[in-house]
Amino acid sequence: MSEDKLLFDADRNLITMGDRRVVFHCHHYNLFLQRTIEDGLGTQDAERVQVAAAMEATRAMLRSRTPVAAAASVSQQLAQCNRLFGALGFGQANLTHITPQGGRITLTTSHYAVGWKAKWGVAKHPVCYFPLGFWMGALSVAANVAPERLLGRELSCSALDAACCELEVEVL
Amino acid sequence: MAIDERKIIEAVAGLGITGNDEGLIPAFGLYLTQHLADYYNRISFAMARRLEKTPELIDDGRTLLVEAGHGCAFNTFGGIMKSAEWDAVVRPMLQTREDWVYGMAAVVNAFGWGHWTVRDLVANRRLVVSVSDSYEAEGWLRDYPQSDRPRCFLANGGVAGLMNLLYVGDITQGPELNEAYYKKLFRGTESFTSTEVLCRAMGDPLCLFVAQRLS
Repeated sequence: MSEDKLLFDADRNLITMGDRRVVFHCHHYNLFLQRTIEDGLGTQDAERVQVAAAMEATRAMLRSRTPVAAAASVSQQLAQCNRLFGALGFGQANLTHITPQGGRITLTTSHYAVGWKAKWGVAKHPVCYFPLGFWMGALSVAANVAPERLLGRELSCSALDAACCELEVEVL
Repeated sequence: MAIDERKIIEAVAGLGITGNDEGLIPAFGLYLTQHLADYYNRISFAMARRLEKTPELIDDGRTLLVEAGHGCAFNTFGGIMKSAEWDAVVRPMLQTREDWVYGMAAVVNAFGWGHWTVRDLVANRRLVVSVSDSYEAEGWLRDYPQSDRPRCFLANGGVAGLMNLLYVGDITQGPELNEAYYKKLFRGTESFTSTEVLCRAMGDPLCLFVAQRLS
């Protein structure tokens, strides 16, 4: 199974994975933008929009990258997604309790939770919208499950001083 | 002009920025990500489009999203211009304050945002930057009808931020990047604001930004 690689076109300043653009941004922008979306849409819609956007973007990126060997199992594909998740700076995930039928993903580190606390201190609600959508998108692609069949939520978040961030993904 | 953009791009791209054992990228005093442009575009455009349905809120969406760009410039550009990497790679090329603008634009040209070109810089007065392949404008064009207004919110805030860091504050002296300093740079009577006068999302050939003082 091939590993994901970012390609850099220095003349045009384009970084791509598959046919999708990748851009550098820091936690200040990521968290400020997240809060900006909450200001504009309200907390509930902001969460829905950001989780859905993360799932859409992740699915598109995973589907356009170098094809994974046909023999790769769901767990192997998710493991590859986990290496990608960490390489891109989103954090570190424990995938012990996730199966093609759903389950739980523990983030021992999360860029969004670490960044939120570094910028603003303890949060008032879970903040890992992007990671939740990323892992819903990853499971959708790896297990070949329609995204409409997935429900997700963050059960605990280290931005609220929990020991880790715990995501739950349910396959309907 | 002593700035060697190619050398700066190669140096930044050659840093091998990738997640550590914790899956995080601490660099320049920041936590970095190599993020999905589609994600930023969808959430930003979703909010802007929602607010634009209400006539009196049309400008609010743009204002909020450009403000996020101001924060990006302040923290990211500011953090980089205070970093050891800047001192090692870029600072030896800097002879004037204006060189700092060109140097930072060169660094941006390793971020994947599309290519920034400083078209005109009048010290302490005006900055004109063009961007080709803007991820914001190109993302808009791919997913939405041609726009009747500019869509590069992040870049717009970034261009203003460059001028504020150099000519309202003095990033060359390595100030602490705190809330008070942010307000001085972006809320003062001397602050620069940027206008996107051309945008690919509107059918223009490239995106063009002009930063100047309101007063």
